[in-house]
Amino acid sequence: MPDVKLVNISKRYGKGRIIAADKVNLEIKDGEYFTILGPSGCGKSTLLKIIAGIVKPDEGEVYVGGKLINDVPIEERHIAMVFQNILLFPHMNVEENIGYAPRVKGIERERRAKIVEEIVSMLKLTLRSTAFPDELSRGAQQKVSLARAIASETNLFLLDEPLSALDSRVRLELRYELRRLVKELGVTAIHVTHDQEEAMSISDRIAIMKHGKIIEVGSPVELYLGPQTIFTAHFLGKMNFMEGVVIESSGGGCVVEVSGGVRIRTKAKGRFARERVVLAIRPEFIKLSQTINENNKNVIEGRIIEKFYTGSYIYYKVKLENGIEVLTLTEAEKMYKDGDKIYASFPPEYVILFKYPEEGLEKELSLE
Amino acid sequence: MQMVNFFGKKIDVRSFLSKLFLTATLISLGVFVFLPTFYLISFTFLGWDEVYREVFANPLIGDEHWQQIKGILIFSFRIALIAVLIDILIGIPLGYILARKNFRGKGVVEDLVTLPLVIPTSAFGFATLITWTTIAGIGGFLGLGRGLVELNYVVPIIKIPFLILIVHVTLTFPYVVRIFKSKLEELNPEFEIASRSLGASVFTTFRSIVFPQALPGLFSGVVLAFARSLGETGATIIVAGVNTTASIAIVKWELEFKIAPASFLGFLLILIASSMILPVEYFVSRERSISSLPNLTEILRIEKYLLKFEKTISRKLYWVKEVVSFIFIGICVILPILVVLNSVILYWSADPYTGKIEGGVIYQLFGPANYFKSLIRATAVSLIVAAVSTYISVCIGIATAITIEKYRFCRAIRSLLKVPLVVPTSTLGLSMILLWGPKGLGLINPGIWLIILTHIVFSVPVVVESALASYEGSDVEVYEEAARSLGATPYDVAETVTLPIIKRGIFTGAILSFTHSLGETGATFIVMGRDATVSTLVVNMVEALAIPAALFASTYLIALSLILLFVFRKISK
Repeated sequence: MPDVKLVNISKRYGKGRIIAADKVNLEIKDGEYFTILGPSGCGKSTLLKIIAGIVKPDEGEVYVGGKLINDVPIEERHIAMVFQNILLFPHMNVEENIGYAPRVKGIERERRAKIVEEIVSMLKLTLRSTAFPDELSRGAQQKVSLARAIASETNLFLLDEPLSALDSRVRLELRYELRRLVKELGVTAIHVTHDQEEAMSISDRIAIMKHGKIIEVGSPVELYLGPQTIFTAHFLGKMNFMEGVVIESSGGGCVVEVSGGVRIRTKAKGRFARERVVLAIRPEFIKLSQTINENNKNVIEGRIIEKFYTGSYIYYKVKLENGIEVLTLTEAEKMYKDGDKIYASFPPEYVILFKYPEEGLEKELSLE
Repeated sequence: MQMVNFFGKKIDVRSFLSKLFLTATLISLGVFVFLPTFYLISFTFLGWDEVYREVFANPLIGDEHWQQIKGILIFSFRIALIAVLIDILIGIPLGYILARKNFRGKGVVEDLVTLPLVIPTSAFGFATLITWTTIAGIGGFLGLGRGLVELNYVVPIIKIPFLILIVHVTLTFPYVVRIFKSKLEELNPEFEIASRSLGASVFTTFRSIVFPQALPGLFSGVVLAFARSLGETGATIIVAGVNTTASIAIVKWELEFKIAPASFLGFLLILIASSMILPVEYFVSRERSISSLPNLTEILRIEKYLLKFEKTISRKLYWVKEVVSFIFIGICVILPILVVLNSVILYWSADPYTGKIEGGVIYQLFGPANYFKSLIRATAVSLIVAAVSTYISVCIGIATAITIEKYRFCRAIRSLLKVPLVVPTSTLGLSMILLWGPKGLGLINPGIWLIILTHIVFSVPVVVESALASYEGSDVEVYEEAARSLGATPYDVAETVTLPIIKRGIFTGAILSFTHSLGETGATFIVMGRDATVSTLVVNMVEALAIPAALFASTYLIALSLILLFVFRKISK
């Protein structure tokens, strides 16, 4: 059964100048929907290609189902790939495309037709089987290519940005279809994407990657609510960051002073006094109100300076009295106007602290 | 803009100019390219009585000419067929290697593949001749004391003279390799990864994914190679010995004033060439032409065994394609050149075997025969012909390319322009002399001007084709529309957008037609009168048995073509 293990995988391009993978260690469990997420150029596709056997790693080992497969050619790795560029064979019609893997395994025409039929009904494909790829929409093409991958009857799916080339509506639809199929077939799926929303909604676990390194691995909830690094906090969803200094630390949490002498109490533990930190809070956890509510903690006065209407929610940009701007998210029924005076409250349990990065906050937040 | 014409009617200047441009282009194409190409057909029909009398019912020899023509045609076709089969066997792996692999010295291999296209064929034929049949060549290296093979050695089973076959394969395989390779480069290599990830071995992937998609390219390459083999004259005439191919027969008969059988043979060749290229053009241009072909292996139920076989080859014999290709290039392209260079040094001052200075290069060049003088004169003729014909061809070619892109009804011109490329050049020469020469319109006598006109016929298609290729490869239309939206007139657009973008394609075409013109032998032989070009001079030297002089001239031509190759490479990259 295909659990995948990468041990110390390294790969460099361009005479060693570009690092695509830097001593990567990763374990993917059998039957898991695993996503590798990172900004473009972080090396995530290279990692997938190393698992597929398209790229040879400079160092390290790839194990699938406990077997070392470094020297096994692509065609014998029993994987199924789905590509961003879809890559349906243009000279074959839908049926021939789906039946390609059985064909090259030497399965006779009659049995092949049966396999194709089964998959078509499973995917609820309502296409003419004699249609050629260029007669189909992108979404339909990608569905056929998924069918083609399924027909190879393997247990390891490698999905290389499979939804990136599609329209946003089709993308959402196929996203759930993908997860449903993977779970229904009981296969292991490794999905590579730069779309954090896609990764969050589809995966059992996510690995965050940057500069050829795995930064953090965890379930979507773990990574979203309790990120261990500033990069993860920034890359997944939206996050407000402020620089500050710890002025008081105890067993129950600590107090951080941010610019303008404003103090914010948090429940974060293990910090020591006078430590430089980065304080972070997600927009949806900041509470806004026009009156001071006694129950709210860490209340800071500010003014609404901008608003972005999305339909179900509204983002407000608030300029706090100490000059810092924060982004907040509220339900659409509460409407404020630009310039409205507002009280923003930062619930201590949602305020996260990070150690101040050596190279500065700006550098840490850049996606390059 | 409006102006008033002779009859007082208002007309649009712009549309008037564009009509003028179209008319001028079509007329010059017709006069310079199509008329000479197809003239032989009408000539044969108009003079059918004489042709019939000479070919089928000669009072003295009866239908002897017809019997000869039949034999010659079958012989030529057999050579072309076998040569093309070998081309395919070598061309597919070589094209694949050049398109997909990266290795040190790849540029050199690419140049070596292009070399037979730019090398003057007579010089190359001579180099091959001494490599295989004389002591200066392979035989000498092996210590045999004679050439490795006899001049008229015939390969058993296929019954084709060995030297003719080897010359034809070497001169035609670049068409297959280059066109197949460029088709492969258009194909996204990710398709191959997709196929392999689905479990297909490297060979199975090639057979089921790569090959079908590259088949149109292979077809075009094969047709050109076949036509080139049918029309090859320069090298064949040197290595032919007692054999006669169709194009040599035309040259010989023309020189013996047997116009009727020569033109009838030429007529047949044009018909055959056109009837070959036009269906293939149609097939290749049709959408999904490949998908409509039946799957033979499925029908024969051998797919299963084939898959197993392919898996084994993919694992164990993957290196064969490299080794075979490189050995072929080494023996057929590099070796003859080295042998010529080596021999010219050996023969420089005297014949190395007899010690006579009369057998040395220097004596022959500057002695009583004074081949040096004729060489200089021939070089001047060659350069003038090449420069003038290329210039005129580029002018006609640019106009034609633009016309083909702008006017729908001119698309057919593109297919028609393939015909001059596949018409054997000696046939073309015959057509030219019958059209313009004393027996036809009587406008131009054999000589430098007729050579120039002849070379224009096959140069225009080359320029048009590479201009069109770069036009279509670079989304010019989008930029043209952008320029128009910014207020540029159609003329401005052509001058400031279209031409600069397709400049490289035009340069490539110009270089190709220049080298083609330098190396052309078949047609030039017929139309040159007393103005010999360098490549025809080599043939004359060999026929006069002035071997050292021929050695020198060949070296000189090979050096010239290497320089041109260098220029070609600089421009096309």
